[in-house]
Amino acid sequence: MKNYKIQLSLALVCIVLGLALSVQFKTVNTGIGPVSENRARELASQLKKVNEERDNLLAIKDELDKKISEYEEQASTGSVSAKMLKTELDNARIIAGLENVEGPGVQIILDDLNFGVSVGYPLISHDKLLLLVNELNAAGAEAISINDQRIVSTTEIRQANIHININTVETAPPFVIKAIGDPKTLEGAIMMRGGIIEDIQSSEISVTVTQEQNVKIPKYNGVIEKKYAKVVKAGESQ
Amino acid sequence: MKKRLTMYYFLVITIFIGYLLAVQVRSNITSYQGIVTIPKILEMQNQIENTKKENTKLASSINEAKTKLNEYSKNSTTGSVYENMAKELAKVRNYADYEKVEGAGIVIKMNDSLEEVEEGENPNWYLIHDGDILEIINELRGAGAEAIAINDERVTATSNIRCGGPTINIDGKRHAVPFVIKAIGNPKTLESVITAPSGYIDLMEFYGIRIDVQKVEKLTIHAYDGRYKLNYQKKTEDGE
Repeated sequence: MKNYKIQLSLALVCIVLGLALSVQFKTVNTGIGPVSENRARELASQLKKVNEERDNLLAIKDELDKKISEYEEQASTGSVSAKMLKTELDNARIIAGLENVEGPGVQIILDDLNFGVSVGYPLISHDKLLLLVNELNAAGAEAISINDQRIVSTTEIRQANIHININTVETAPPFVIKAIGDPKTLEGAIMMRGGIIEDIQSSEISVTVTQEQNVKIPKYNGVIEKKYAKVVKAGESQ
Repeated sequence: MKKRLTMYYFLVITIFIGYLLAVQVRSNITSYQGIVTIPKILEMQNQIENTKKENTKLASSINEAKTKLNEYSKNSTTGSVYENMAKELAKVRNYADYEKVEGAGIVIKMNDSLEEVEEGENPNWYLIHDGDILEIINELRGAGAEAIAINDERVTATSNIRCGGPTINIDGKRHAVPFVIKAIGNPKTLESVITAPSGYIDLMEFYGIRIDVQKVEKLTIHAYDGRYKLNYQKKTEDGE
């Protein structure tokens, strides 16, 4: 009888041990290497490094842009035609999304209150953002950014699992959408009954729309590729 | 004697369990900013990858700016920065879709479905809507399209496409089916992305919407003919 008792307890211990081992193996065996403090620390420092690198690159880019602008400024003091050319160039850059711009407009914040909680699908999907940008454009928006990614003519808004890639940069809720234009018209168009905001808003998605006196929208920081599209010269292009 | 042997067993086992527990606790709880979990590690890896990609893009745009600057400084002594600026203007206007362009690409022709609408089905499924066109334009952009036009209407960063009864308005101009979307870019990439299984076109074809995708050696896309939209926005002075 006593022997039986001991064997039972041993069996119990073995079961617990077996479970502990299998859990451990399953945790480790996900293809991302051991989940350890060291690994986390290493990744955190890597992340810090690439972020610093990005800030650095952004600063270099700004500086170069400023120098280019100085050259142009200098050249444009010479003659009236040069001055006109400079103005035209500045305007074209604004339209192409290559300048930081500001002006009155609206700011929209979309937050997925359950983001990260495994629902299995994103509550704010890319098509909602596509429609929102489209509505803002229809209401006369002049410049739009989502989480500081400027919408230019080659910008794609794509679902990538639970994230959304904009200009191939990954973004996640909360989405801050800024648009420059007539604040009243912009707000009215998206807040319309049966409109896009009503469509997005739900118990799990909070929406804040505010009219702003001064919205700041950053420039596009990538390279716009024109490898295939060649300009057709129809007389002078100026 | 037998009792003692069992005690040894227990001793070994408890030591082992104790060790396992200690390892588990150590690796999970004391850590950088809270608990190290797999999702967190994956998230960090993701962010690193993402920022690296962003940095590569930034680096190439810096290179571009450097070449530009070089040309400027070379010509600043001879006083022909003006010419550089003129060239730059043509390039920027091309970026802003204000230039007529030509190149290789694809042509997509779309028309509403001819299939019978069955009981209980929504007839809207068999029609082309503004959302469908938005999705296709978006996929084209993702595939690297450099210039896009719908029924010869140039699509820009601020274009809008909306349903207006039986027609679709593109930047306020009315267009009816069939829709012809032209896109300049690498024809192979464009075609394969746009016709990918479970892609958007694949879905539309399921409802019998008639879609035809053709690779084209050379096609021409007109410039956007609207004005610069500069009533509200202005350049932010002084960078920071």
